Amino acid sequence: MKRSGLTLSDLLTYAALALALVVFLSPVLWMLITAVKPPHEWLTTPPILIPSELHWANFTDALVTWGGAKGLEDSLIVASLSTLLSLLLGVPAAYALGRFNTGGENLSFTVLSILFMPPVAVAIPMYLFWSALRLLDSYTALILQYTVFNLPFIAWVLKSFFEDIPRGMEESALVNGATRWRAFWQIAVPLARPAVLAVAVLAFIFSWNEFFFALILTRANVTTLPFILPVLMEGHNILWGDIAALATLAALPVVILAFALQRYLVRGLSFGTVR
Amino acid sequence: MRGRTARREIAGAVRLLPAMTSASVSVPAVQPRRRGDTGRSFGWLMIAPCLAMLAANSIFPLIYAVTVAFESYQVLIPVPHRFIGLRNFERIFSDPLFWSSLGVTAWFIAGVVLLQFPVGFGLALLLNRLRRYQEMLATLLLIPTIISTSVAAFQWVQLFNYQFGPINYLLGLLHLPQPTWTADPALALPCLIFVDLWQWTPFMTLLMFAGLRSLPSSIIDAARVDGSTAWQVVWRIYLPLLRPVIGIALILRILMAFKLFDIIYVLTSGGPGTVTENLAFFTYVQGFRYFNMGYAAALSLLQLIAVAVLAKLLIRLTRRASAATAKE
Amino acid sequence: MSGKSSDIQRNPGAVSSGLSRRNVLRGGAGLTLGLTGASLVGGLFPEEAWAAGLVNIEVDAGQNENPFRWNTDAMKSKFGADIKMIGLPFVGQYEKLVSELTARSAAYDLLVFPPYFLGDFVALGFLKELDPYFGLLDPQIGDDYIPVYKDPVIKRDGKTYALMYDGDMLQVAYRKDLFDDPSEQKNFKAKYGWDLAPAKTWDQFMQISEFFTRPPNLYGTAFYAARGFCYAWFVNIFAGMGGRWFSDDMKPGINSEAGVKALEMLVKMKDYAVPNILQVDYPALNEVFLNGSTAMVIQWNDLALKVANPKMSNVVGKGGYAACPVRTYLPYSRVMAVSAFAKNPEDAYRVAAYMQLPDVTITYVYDSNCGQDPYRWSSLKPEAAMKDHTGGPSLDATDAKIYVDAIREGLKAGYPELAIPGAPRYLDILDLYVSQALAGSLKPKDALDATAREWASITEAEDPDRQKAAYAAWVKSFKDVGVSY
Repeated sequence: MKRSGLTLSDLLTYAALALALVVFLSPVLWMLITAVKPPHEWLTTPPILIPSELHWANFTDALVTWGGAKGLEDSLIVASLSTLLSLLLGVPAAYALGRFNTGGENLSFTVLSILFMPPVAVAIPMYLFWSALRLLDSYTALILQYTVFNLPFIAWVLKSFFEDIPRGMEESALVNGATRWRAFWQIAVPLARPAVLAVAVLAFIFSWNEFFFALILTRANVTTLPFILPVLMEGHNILWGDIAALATLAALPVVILAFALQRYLVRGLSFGTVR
Repeated sequence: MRGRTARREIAGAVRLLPAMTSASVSVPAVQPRRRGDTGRSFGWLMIAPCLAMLAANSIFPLIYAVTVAFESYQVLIPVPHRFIGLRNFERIFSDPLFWSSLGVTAWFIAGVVLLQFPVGFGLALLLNRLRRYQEMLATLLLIPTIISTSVAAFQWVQLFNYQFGPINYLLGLLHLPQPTWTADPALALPCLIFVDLWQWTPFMTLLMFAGLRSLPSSIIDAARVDGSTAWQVVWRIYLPLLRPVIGIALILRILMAFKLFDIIYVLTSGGPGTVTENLAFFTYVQGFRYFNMGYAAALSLLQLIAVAVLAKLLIRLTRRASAATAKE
Repeated sequence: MSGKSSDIQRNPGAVSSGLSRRNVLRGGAGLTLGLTGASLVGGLFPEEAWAAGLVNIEVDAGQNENPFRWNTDAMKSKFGADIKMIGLPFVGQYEKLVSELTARSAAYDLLVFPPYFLGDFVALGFLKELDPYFGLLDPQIGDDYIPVYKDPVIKRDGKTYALMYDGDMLQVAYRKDLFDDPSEQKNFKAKYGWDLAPAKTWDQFMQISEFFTRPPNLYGTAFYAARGFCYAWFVNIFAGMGGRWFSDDMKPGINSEAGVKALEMLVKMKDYAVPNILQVDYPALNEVFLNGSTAMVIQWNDLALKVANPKMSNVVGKGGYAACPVRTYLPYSRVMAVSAFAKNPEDAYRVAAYMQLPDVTITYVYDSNCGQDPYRWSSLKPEAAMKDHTGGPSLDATDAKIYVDAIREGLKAGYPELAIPGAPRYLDILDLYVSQALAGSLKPKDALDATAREWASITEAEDPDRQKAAYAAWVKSFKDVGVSY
C-alpha cells in the first residue's frame, strides 16, 4: 500500500481537511482578533481582519471591570473540585460495576440515565433544594451539582475499562494476602490511569463550561465565567472587544489542557477490537 | 503492523462502546469464587458513596416532579396549591406552544442525525487517511467542542450580525443576498442548528475516528485484496463494524440535542416569536419566568419519562446491532 | 505509544513508578485545596455579607448601577453608609428577585426594580412601608414628583412602598438635519400634502417612515421588535388609539378594535425598518439611530444623551426630539424599595431617599453613562440637561430645550404601565404573542385574542375579585392625579 508522491485522492483529502479546519476554527480566530481590537474597529464595514493596534485594554477591562479575574478563580475552584470529587466517588463505583457487576444491568442503566436528564427538568426542584439548604450562590451547590452530572459519565467509561483489565494481577495479589482495597488502589487504578486522565479532562471541561446551573444557582458570591458573559450583552453598547477578551480567557485554559493531554483524550476514547 | 499495535492497545485502552452497549452481555469470564461474598459486599461498599450522592440529588427532583406535576402550584399566587389530577397534562397537550416546541426539538435532533453524523463520519474517514498529525488535527478540530457553549454562541452573535458580520460581508463580496440570519423567522432555527453542528461535529468525528483506528487492519486488507473499491470498503465493512460506536455517538448526541438550551438562550431567546423555542427552553420559561410550577413540573416529568424511554430504546437497538456485528 | 499495561506485564516493579506519579497528583490536589481553602470556606457556606452601615443594593447590572457609584462618597460622608452593588442580569431579574424574596433571603437591603413588579411585591409582603422612615431623611416628594410618577407608581393602599429612581418614557428621536432639509421638505409636501414635522398622529408617523425608507443606506424607522419588550411599542400605539388594559370588570381590553389596529400598524412598521428588525433590542435600537442608518426611532428617552456623546454617536447635533403621537407609553422605569428582610433598613432608606433628592437626581438624569431619566418637575430645566454628572458637557443649549420640552409634553399625556398584582405575567404573555405576530406566525387578531384568553385565565387564577379591586384602585389613582385613562 505504499505510495510515493501525492495522488489526487491525497490532495482531495488535504483540501477537505483544510476546509474543515477553516470552518471550525475561523470563528475562534475571529474571537482572538476581536479580543485585541480597539473599540472603534469592533463593528465596521468591511470587517477589519488586522487590528491597527493590540488593544490589551480589552483584557484588563474584562479582568477587572467585568469581574473576569474572579470569574477565572471561581470557575477554577468549581471545576477542579467537582472533578476531584467526581473521581473520588466515581472510580471506586466504576470498579464495583466493572469487577463485581454490582447491582447488575439495572443499576448500571440507572446510573447512566442520570446523564440523560435534561437539566431544565431538574432545575426548579434543585433550585428549591439548594435554596432550602441556604446554599444558593455558594461553591458547594455548584460543585455538588456538577459532580452529580459528571459521576455517571465517569462511572460508565471506567466501568468498561475495569471490565477489560485482565484479572490476573489482582488475583495473584489477593492470593498473596492483599486486601481487596489494595488490589484496587495499587493495581487496578494505576492500570486505568490513561482512562482516568481522559475522563478527568472531560469532566473538568464540562464543569468549566457549564452554563445553565451557573445561571440559576449563582448570584454574586460565585460567578463562573459562562455566567458573566450575558451581562456584557446588555446595556447601551455591546462591548464586543471585552466580550471576546473574556471569551478568550474562558477558552484558553481548557484548550491548553486539552492539547497537553491530547494523547489521553484520543486514546481514552479509542477502542479495542470489536467483540 | 497496524493490527498488532491495535491489539496491544486493547489491553490499555478504554472500551467505551462495548461497555455501553453490552452491559449485560459482558459477564466476566472468571468469577473469583474464593471470596465470593466479601467480593460482593466490597463492591457495594465501593459504589455506596457514589450512589448516595446521586440518590440525594435525583430523588428529590423526581419526587418533586411527580408530586407538583399534579398540583395547581404557582409560586406567586398566595393560594394554597391543590391537587388537580391530570389537568396540567391536559393543558400541556392542548397548548399549541407545547407542540411547536416539540417540533423545534425534533428539528434539532434531525439535524444531528441527518447532518452531523455524515459530516462527522466523513471527516473521520479523511483523518484516517492521514499518516501523521492525526491526533493534533483531531484536537485542533475539537476546539469548538472544548470552548463553552455560551462562549461559542457569543461569537456567532457577532458573526451573524446583519450589518457588520463577516459572513454577510463575504456574501456581499460574492454578490450573494445577505440574509438577516437570526432575525429571519425562517432562518433562525437553521442558524441555531448550524451552531450546534459547528460545535459538536468534531466530537462526533473524534469518536468515529477512534473507532476507525481500532479496526483490525486484517479485515480491511482482506477486503482490499478482494478488489473492493474504497466506497465499498466504507459501506460494507466500516459501517457495519462500527455500528456500536455509531450507536453510542448517536445516543449521546441525540440526548444532548434534546436538552439543548445554551445556544437558544444566548442567540435568540426562543425568538423571533417562538420559532426557536424548544421543549427545554419552553419549560424554562414556564418555570422560571412565569412561575407556573405545576405546569413546568408536568413538562419536566414528561421529559424525564421520554428521555428514559428513548435512552433504553436506543441502547437496546445498539446492543442488538453490536451482537449482530459480533456474529459477522 | 505502547500501553502502560504492557509495561506492567513485563515489569511488575513498574507499579511503584505509578505510585510516585500518583503521589504527585495527590500533592497537587492537596495544594490546590490548601490554596483555595480560605476563600472556599467563605464561599462554601455563604453568609449574607453584613456589617453595620453596609447597604446591599440590588440593581440590574451595567449602566444603571452608575449613579449609585457616583454618589458613594457623598453618602458615606453624609450618613456613614457603605454601599455594595449587586448587579443582576437584566433578563431574568424578576425571576431572581422573586426566588430570593420568596425564600426570605436577607441578601439585599435596597431593591431597584421596575414598578410593574410592585403589585406582586406588595401583595406578597416583600417590601417595607417607607412612611415611618420619612423622619430619617425627608424625601421631598411634595408636588415635585411629576403626577404620573407619584401615587400611582409609589403608593399602594395609601402607603408609600417605593421611591422613584428612573422615569422612563418612550420618545421620538429624529434626524432634524433630514427634517430641516429644504429638498426633503419639498418632496414630502408634494407626496403627502402636509409639512414635514414630527408626527402628531400615527398615520402621519407611518407616512414619515415610508418617506425615509431608502434601503440600503437609510431606513424610515425602527423599534424594539425582539422578544422581551416588543409589547411596549405595541402598547404605545394602542394607548394612542384609546385602548385600555382592562374594562372596569376586568375583561381584557387588549383585543379590542384599537388593539388589532395598533398591532397591525406595528407589523406594517417592519417594512420601513432595517431588515434585521426582528432582532433589534435596546442596544441595537440605540445603534441604528446612533450610526445614522435610521431617520426616526421611538426609544426610551435617554437616547438623546447618547446622541450628544461623540464617543457613542455618529449623529452628534443632528438629533431632534418630540413626544410620541397622541399618547406616550411609560414602560419599565425603576423604583427603589427596602426589602422586608433587610438587615439594615434604616440606612437602605437613607440611600434611597438621598438618591432621589431634587439636587442629587438632577445630576445624573441627563448623563449618557447611565440610563436614568427625570421624574421631578425640578429636574426639567434645560440648563441641567446640558451637563453630565461630572459637570462636563452633555446636550447643547438648543437641543436641551427641545429635549426637556419633549419630556414635559410626553409626560402630560403619559399612559401608565400595568402595575397590578400579576402584571409581569400579563405583560410577558402579551410580549410573547406580539412577538409571534411580528414574526408572522400569527395574525394580529389571533395573537391578541389568544392574549386575551390567557389574561382571563391569569385573572381567574389570581383571584378575580382581588384583581378587580386592585385594578379599580390603580385606575382611580391615575384619575386622581389628572391622567386620562
